[in-house]
Amino acid sequence: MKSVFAKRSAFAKRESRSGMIFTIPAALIMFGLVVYPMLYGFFISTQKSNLIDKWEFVGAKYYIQLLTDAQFYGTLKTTALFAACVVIGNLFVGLLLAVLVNQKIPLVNIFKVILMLPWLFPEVVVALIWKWLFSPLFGMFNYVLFSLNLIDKEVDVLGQPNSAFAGVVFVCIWKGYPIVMLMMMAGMKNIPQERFEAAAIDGANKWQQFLNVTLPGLRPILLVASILETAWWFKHFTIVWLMTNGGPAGSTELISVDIYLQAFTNFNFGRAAAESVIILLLLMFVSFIYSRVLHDEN
Amino acid sequence: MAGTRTNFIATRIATYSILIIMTFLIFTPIFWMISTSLKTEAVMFNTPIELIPSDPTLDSYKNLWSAYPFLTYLRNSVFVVSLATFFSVSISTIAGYGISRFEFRGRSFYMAFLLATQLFPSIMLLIPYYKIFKTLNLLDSLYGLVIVYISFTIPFCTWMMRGYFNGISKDLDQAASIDGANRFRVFGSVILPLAWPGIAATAIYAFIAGWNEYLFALVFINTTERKTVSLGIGQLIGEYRVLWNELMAAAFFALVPMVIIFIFFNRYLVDGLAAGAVKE
Amino acid sequence: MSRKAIAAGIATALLIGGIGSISAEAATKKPAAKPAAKPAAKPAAAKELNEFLNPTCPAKPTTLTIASAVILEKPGGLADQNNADEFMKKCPNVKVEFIGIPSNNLPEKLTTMAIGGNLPDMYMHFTSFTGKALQMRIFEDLIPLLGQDYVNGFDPLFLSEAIQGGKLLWAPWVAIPHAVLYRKDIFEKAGIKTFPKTFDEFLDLAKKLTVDTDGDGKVDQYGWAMVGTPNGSGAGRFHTIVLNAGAYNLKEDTNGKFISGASLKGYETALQLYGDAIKAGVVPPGYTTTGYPEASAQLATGKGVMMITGPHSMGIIVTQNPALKGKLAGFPVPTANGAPPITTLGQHGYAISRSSKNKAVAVQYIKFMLSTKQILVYNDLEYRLPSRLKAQEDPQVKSGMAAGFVNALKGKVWSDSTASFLGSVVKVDYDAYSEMFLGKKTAAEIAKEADAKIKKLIADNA
Repeated sequence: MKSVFAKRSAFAKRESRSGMIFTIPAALIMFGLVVYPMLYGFFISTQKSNLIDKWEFVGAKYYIQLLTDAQFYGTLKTTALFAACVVIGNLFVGLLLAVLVNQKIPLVNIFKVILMLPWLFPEVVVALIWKWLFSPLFGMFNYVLFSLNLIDKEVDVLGQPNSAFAGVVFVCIWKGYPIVMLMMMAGMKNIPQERFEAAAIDGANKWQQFLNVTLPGLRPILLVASILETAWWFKHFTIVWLMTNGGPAGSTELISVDIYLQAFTNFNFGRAAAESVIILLLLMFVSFIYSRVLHDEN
Repeated sequence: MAGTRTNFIATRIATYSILIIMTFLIFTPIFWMISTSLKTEAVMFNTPIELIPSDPTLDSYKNLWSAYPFLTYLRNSVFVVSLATFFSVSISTIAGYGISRFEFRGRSFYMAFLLATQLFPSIMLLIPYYKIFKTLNLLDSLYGLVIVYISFTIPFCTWMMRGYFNGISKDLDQAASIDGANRFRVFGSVILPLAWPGIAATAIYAFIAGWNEYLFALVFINTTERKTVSLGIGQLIGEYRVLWNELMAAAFFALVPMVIIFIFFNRYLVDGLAAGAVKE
Repeated sequence: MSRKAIAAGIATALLIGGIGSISAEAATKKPAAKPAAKPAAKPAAAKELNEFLNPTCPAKPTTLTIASAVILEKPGGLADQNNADEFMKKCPNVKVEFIGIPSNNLPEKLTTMAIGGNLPDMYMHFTSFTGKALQMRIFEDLIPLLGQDYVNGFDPLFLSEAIQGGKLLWAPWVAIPHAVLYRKDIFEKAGIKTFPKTFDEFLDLAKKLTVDTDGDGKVDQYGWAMVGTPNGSGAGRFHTIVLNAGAYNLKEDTNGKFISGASLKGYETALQLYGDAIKAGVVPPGYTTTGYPEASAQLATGKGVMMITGPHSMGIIVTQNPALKGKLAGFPVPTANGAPPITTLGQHGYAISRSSKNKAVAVQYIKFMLSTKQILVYNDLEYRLPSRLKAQEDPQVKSGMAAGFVNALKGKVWSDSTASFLGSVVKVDYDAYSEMFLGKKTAAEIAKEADAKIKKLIADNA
């Protein structure tokens, strides 16, 4: 009995050391480069400062300002809704396409390359092209609708709050699904073929195989994808800013836009930093919820 | 058997329909991009809109090389992003394996910490990063940018590789070490070859993230000779005026290396050496 | 203390050197230029403090670094490049290096460089940067460096914005006052002979110009190419309307306290004009995404006829559609009830960093590029109005397409507050007209909300 326990703790110690050796390079870089900026951010969120030579401690002033500002909550709500729509869209489209191209069917490799294309574009180009395509006077969207005689007056997709919201969500999904698709494709490669065969023998059809073999097998990757996607799209700036500037009337206004405004237009870094810290805490909470829900063993 | 046959046809039709719709949605903007790049400024906003330019010209493309040092931009981007991707993926793969396989104190904290770095709005990182790199004398330097991009991509890549390694059964590790291999041998010779699809996906992500990154390249690089492709493209978007044809031509050109990279790595995604390797 | 002495010494040296070099440098220029300037008589010398085409070159090789947004623009960048090239010809041991920053990204890059202590010798300064420059104290006072006599050669309107607390923060280069830019050819075709003086007249004119030109049943020409995007460009134009309705968004009262102008009737009137224009259909569809480039394109293609903007838009439109050269002009912005119009300068120029080690060379460069010949290059490319009084008198500036804009400068000019939170106040402006577009609230309601928001901003930033 005793010897088993003794072996265990020696094993655990060896485990621990090996684990650390593997993970130290990454830890060094991240600690060196990211911890300082984040601590810096925490620090300046309590200061009224020009970041050069004037520092005035103001404590939680900016936090209180933000947490009692209705407009701040409004923007958070819009951002959360935007992120939710885009993430769900990306997960759905990415997973669906990954399953489709995982089949051994003719031309599948060509489709794989085509489906990756949106992600290879820089965000500015994506935003500007789609903005142009949606333009009532000069865009293909209206042109096609007119030609097919479906409308008799221009449709301004980005001009009304609801359609503008849908429009930017659509474009972000267009740009964002490939990374999810990529992750799913890699994840599916590691689901052993035997499991599918066993399920088929048990009489499961394609759909049931998907539910009972593919999805569970993808769980670790799905968790990673959900968390990171949520974080990325919650912090998103470029595509929406270039397409609608947060309009019409704030219906597509994202929190990153306000952080930029506070930091570089108003030169109010204290407030921008406080906002960033709030976002950080919010996203950490959300990630925590995700890992509970998706219940990853690790 | 007839049921399965209809099933088979239905699946095929559904698959191809969806793929074709996606292709259409993807090609429409690309088509418009190419069409715009072949127009002159005078006809850019003609109505009714010209899907195919009546008087196409390659001037925008020629201007890319003559008016701007686009070749230099391309060279810089390839250098920075390749280096950053290589180091980032290497370090992350090793770290991801470590987290996946070993129980060590602070493991959850480590993962949470890596994650937390991705949750902070990057615009606020700008100034502290700038100060750090000024102290290291790495401003206006391509090497400095490499390090910046490594720091940006490590968290995601580590998480991705860890998730991926979690999907490779630990039984394989056991089997290999029973056969007498030590930890590093197990990693290098047995598990790593199975990880290529994950590594490929991670590498593609890191490459594209670096290639399209704009804000930090903008603030860190001053000299024209060191600018990257994304800066070259960004310059064509002015406050008063967008040089549409040149912008589209530049974007098209910037796509090419990435498509090449993707096709190269696609091999590993397809031929995943993992397929069927595990017996349960 | 010694700093002042050095500055005074430099100023004196420059004065003497400047006058001396014009006459003494026979190798580079024909002495016929201004031989009469030789005597150091102060009154006569003031006139000569405009031309510095023969700069005093530094003794050892120097690199002059300049952060510029203009260098990346077309065609304006050619002016920046021309200045550098010509200067380097005169001073072969000086290398002028531009750090090109797209103007959309100027705030974040300049601010980061400033905070990181990494500013170049000279940087481009737009009026909106003033508050930040003051807070970071990154500029060198140019009055001692340029000399008071030289400074007197600037248009006082420009100086009123550029001099803060008795210091000259930047050397003004050009300005783009707002007026109504219009298509002369379309006006002629429609037989328009007089310009609207009130908002009502303006709206009526826009309605008259909104027609179906090719008879296919669809309107394809709109009277007002409005910049309706919720950003600084759109807000700037909206604020010009607000000003001409007798209101404003933010200003400092005589006690230095900030006050909101959104409670004035004029703010509501301006919103009403915007709302009426949309309802009347005189604005091309897609106005919430029509930014500056898009509105310029509308004028270039004849989709829009009138646009509130500065004269540089003419340069951009002519580049897009060369056939329009000579067919664009400007008239003063109409006012709510016919009162004299107010405009904004929209100027920019170059500042010298306090941390620069090459201030003397920078001063030479600034005087060089502000010499009449050089400054007219920029004016020729983009129709921007020069900051130097002498250059303003040049026929190239006053005649032709820019005439209407030059006249706008003779009226009343408004300068934005240097409040650090002005950016948020501007946001209140564009949120306001965006709400007006939706048509769900009345102008009075929106103005009241805007006023409350601005007052809160003032309180939060006290």
